[in-house]
Amino acid sequence: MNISPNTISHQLANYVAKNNLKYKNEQDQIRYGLEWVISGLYQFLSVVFIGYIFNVISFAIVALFTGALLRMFSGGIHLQKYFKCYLYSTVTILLTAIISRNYGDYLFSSIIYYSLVVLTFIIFAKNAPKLYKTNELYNDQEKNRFKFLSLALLLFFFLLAEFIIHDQRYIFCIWTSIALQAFTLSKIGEKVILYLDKITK
Amino acid sequence: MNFIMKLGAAVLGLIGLLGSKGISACFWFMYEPDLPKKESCDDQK
Repeated sequence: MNISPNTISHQLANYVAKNNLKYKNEQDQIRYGLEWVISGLYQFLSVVFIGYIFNVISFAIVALFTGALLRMFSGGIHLQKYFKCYLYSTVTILLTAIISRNYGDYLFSSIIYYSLVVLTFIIFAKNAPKLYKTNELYNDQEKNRFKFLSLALLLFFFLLAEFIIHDQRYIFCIWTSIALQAFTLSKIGEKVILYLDKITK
Repeated sequence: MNFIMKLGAAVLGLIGLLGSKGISACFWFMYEPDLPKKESCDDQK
């Protein structure tokens, strides 16, 4: 049984077009939207389930939403196949959560943290948004708006970590997630990830 | 039964259309579905 988001979204879009004629002309648009929704749902459920097993559920959700919010506006590198994407992102989120919960206090260093904040702002200001399939859908003005929103979100997370969150493990979790997103926006990150994608075909 | 099928299709269609309005990559995911075919987008406009 094939439960990939692509297969299921095609089947559901066919069902929609067959049973509700007003959607017939929008079948592929619906398939596209459902594919996003299903892939997001898979990721959310996997992260929550495995996070629960490892007793890091709150850290896993923080890592997931930090990365997801930023990526919504900044984009980032993509892998070719769904399963690889699913595996990479789920493992990354859970490792971030596990390390943050168990070692975040010991690993946190103010110098590294503030250096990371500065470096991340520079990478986002320079490279965001990094769009692929959707690149042609937006003009320069809209892309600049995405850049601005990415930077505003970074500032939001910085202020959150400075004034609201006092547990260093959560600050470690948030900024590790942000650093990983920044890595996918950088030129080195793009090369490394595309190379890994190529050799794991 | 027919009504339920139609209602299910309407709800799924609405979820699909709302989902398709997402900005770029909406998740941590490094996955991106193929964009809708041009005809479908044009019809919508």
